[in-house]
Amino acid sequence: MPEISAQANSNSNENSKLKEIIKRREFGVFIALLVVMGIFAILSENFLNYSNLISVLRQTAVLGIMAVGMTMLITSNEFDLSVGSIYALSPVFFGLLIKNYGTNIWVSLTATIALAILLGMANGLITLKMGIPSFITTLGTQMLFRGVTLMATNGWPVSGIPDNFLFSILGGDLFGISSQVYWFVLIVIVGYFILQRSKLGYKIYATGGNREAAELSGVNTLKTKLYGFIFTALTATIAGLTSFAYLGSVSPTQGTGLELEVIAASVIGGTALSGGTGSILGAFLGASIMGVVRNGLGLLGIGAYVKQALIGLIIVIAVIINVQYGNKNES
Amino acid sequence: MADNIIEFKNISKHFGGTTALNQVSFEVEKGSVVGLVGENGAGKSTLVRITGGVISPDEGKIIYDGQEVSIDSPNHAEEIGISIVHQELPICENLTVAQNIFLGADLPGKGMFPDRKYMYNKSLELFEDLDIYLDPNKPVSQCSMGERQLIIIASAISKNSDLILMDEPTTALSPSEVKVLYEVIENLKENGISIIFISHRLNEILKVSDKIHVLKDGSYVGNLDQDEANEDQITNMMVGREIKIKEREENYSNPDKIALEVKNLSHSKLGLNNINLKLHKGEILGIAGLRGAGRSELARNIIGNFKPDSGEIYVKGNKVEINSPRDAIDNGIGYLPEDRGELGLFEQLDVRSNMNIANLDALTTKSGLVNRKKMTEITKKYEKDLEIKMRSITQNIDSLSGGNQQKVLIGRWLAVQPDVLIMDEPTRGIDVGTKSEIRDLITDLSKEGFSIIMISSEMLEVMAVADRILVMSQGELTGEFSHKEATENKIMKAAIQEN
Repeated sequence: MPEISAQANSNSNENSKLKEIIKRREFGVFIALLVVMGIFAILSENFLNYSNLISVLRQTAVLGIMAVGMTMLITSNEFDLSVGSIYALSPVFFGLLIKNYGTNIWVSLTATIALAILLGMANGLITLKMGIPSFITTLGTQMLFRGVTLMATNGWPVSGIPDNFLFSILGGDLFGISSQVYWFVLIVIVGYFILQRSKLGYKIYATGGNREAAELSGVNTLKTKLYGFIFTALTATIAGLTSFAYLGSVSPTQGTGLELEVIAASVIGGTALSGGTGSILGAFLGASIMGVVRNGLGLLGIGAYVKQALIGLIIVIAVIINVQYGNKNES
Repeated sequence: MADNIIEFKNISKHFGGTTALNQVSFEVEKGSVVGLVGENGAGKSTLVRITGGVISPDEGKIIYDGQEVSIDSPNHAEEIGISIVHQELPICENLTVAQNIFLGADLPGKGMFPDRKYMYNKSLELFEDLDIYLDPNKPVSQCSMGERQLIIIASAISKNSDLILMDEPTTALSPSEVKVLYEVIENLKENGISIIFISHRLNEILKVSDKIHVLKDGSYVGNLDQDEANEDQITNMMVGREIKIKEREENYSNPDKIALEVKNLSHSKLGLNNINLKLHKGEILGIAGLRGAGRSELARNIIGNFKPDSGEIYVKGNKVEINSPRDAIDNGIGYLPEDRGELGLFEQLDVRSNMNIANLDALTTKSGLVNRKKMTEITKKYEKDLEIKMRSITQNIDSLSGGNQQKVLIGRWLAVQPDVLIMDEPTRGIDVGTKSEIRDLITDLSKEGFSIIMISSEMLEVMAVADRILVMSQGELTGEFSHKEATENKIMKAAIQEN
């Protein structure tokens, strides 16, 4: 490799800052989002109005919240296929505690969060201590968690929780905007600080990029990855609770297949499946692209079957654009 | 019939604003071995990539076997008879020797089924040509680095190559494997195959090459015939200045204060047997030995990366429990690993993150967030102190030259400020100029009070830099010499001692 001489050009500072933004991987996803939005704005006059855009955000919230946890875990070079099941199990557990056992709502919330941490730790410890690929571990726990959820509910939805303060925080609305949107934005911000600004975040990048080197640099890589598994379980639980609060009911089959959409949102956002690269902002944009497409196709009155096919197609195209863009900038 | 297998005529290549190659011209005679040398960044790799069809030159032409060619893909290069043996061997570990040799677009055999018998016999034939023996059915995962290289070379011959480029072929080989490689090169030459041999080790270049070509900063400097060349001369041409390994004059160690002591350390699986050593404060303790003597393994046992069967470690006289590299850092011991790519670098991260990863604790605020301003300050400090050449601290570490990457990794440990720093082959795979900078740096560090263990396979380096030298052979310490009494002979004798 030729050595690149140091640039001592300070008057182009502002220019280079702009260049740096353009060079960032997220910028490609951002452009993709704008393009998709542009297309729907032209095709449907209802797309670009305020209430529709807010409802896109709300519809994207569940996916987006879960993508934050998934992005962290994939960056540490592990996977979690059980998030779709946790998305149902946690709110069902929460609902049954209140309904069947009359448990206090805050106690139930605490217990549910504890359950989430436990589920994440189970995924993590089985994977890391036994040396089983997380793909396999979480494929197993995906079915296990789903089965337990179905057993506990006999397959029936859980609903009929009386109005309460917690539900209005989780799923009510403020200034005419659904709480789910606020939670979405909040989790993205918290996720950003954890992954991209905190000590743990640096360790996640290092662990996912080169585990041996991270270990030799004093990073406890097992613990770091374990946090990743806990984060995916926690974000799935938070997503599940907001949805429960918004709808007033939780179905034991909800979230089937959701894990792959969550992974897709991360990957569209520039997270490499091989670990070591990932961005929360990217995951936010990735989830948004998927939300916009779903909403836009709905507005155009496109049937469910065609819609599914088109969403699949757009995932592939978005990732291609992103990978190409990233490659171009790296060389 | 042309006399030259390949002629490079005024080859130039630019990457963005930098010139990797500038009007380079030279030729390789048929059936000769040509050495190609130059510092890192001199343009050797670029020339290899151009010859291999990975990239195309901006200007100039290549005459291959008397005809002008434009090599536009690796496949094309192979078709016209050029093979490349890369530093990192592209080999499938899950297949056998024979399967790897014939791996490629057309496997021998009819229809869907490869002809195993043919592959087996042909492999044996190829090895016979090279005058070596290797079982074609042996899984590659069980082959040593040297054997893997021979597989790649055999594969090149099976494709009827006339020209083989070897890019740093000996870096990962043991001395006996290097010998085999020399013999193979000799055999290839006899069979009329031409070779371009690239290496940092000048003694190797001198040994195998008929002619030595020198590149510097992308330009062609000149060539020397084997019989008129010597190391000093080549070094002069490479760097344009005289470089000798500087003898250190003063000894800053304090024998009354012991920084680190290892007692009775054994690890039977890794072959380490009853190691005892003391490192004084401010001392540079060299550990010499041959590849495979167990030096890196010893280091990684000390820092808790491997768990020894038995043994005790004392830091400043106190017994400590070290179960992980984290514990080692907490006890003031840092380890700069030998294999930069595998064990040191985070290739997806920028220079700043790479530099500060071991020091995150000191950079974290109460809220758990990392203070990026401090990170930047530290990175800038070591950029200056270590004279790291880079465009910006947020540049990807991958885009730095090997020497500068190594400096960043050294900076990583200086940022932690350990009392003891174990440096494993700190100048390996680095150009001559940076090597001497790093040696000076090690001396400076000992002056500042760091206690250093330097593992190195370059005897001259150990002899010049270390205050005291330990020699390892087959997992045991077999010699100890002071700076004054050490000679190459004594060290070598201890290094090959059978236990």
